[in-house]
Amino acid sequence: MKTRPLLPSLMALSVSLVLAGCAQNPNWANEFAMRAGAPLPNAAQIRERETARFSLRDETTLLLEATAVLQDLGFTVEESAPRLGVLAGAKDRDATEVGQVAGQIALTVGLALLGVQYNPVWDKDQLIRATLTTQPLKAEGAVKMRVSFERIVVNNQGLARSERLDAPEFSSGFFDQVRRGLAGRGIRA
Amino acid sequence: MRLREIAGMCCLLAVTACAPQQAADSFISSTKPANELRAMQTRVVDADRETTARGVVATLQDLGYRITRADADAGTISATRLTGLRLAATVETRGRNQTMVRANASVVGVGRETQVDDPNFYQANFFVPLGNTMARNLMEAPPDGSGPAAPRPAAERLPGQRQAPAASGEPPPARP
Repeated sequence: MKTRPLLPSLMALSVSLVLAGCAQNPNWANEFAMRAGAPLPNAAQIRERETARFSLRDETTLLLEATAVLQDLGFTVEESAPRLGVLAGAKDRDATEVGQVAGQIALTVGLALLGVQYNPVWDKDQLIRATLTTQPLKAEGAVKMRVSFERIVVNNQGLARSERLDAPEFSSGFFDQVRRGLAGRGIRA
Repeated sequence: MRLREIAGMCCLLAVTACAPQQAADSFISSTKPANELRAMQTRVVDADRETTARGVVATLQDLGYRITRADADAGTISATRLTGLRLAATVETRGRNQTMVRANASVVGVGRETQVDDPNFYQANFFVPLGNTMARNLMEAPPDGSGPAAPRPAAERLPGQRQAPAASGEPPPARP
């Protein structure tokens, strides 16, 4: 437990170092892009987990049902391109956790007593994003659907980070709801 | 929490530290010549426009990007990875059954958005995965200077921002 108070300080230090690096290295954007944009080593496993096959020929019907499920789950559809098989949705959630805030305030007070100034850091807002794509499998008379979820968190200092929500139940639960919706329309997929 | 986990979180934060909550103030374009940029950002693929556009979408999702805009008419797809890397791609028909793909990436830093102009990024982090997804060989940009203009990657709405970017492309399909 001794390491916990170190965490925000280490984070603040790393942010300072990187921001300083951003300012001084003229090639920082290319270096960041090379690192952050590299293909995922486990892309095949993620794809398999996030993909389901639906036995129906009409891609539009599947997109309609997926739109309805996203909305039922509280997402707002922010982009839709049926001709490309693309849907994107988002929903806002408060990211503030009482324990995290209390811990940071306690740390601030503790450091202040030692004469050290410290800006407390805690998560403030979050946005959960869903990216959904479909691909017709014409030879099989089916449509493949992939759904990915991520959350973007902004802390009280205004810094944002993203986290992939790749637990299997996120996508499998979504696909189950789509199948139930299709069944409600008399489509067994 | 173990030190290894702390170090991991620091690395994650360090990677995203250059990404502020608000949109960047200014766009810093590459200083490289236009023909050099075009060559690194453009490839030709033996496929029709729609197949290629869907290939771009699948590739971006495979790479861990979130699709932020997709416009079938314009043939433009825009996406974001982590919070600081944006990439847009445009597809344009060339001849009978070929399509040109032009990608353009930028990194959002503090108060600025900087265009990525490293040919290794476009080749290793976009065109090689695109070729693998489409199971096709991608060819270099034609020497005649033809091809689509570099699309500007779209910004996405971040937590705490009320206004979503104006949607492009088609409206959501209407329920029957």
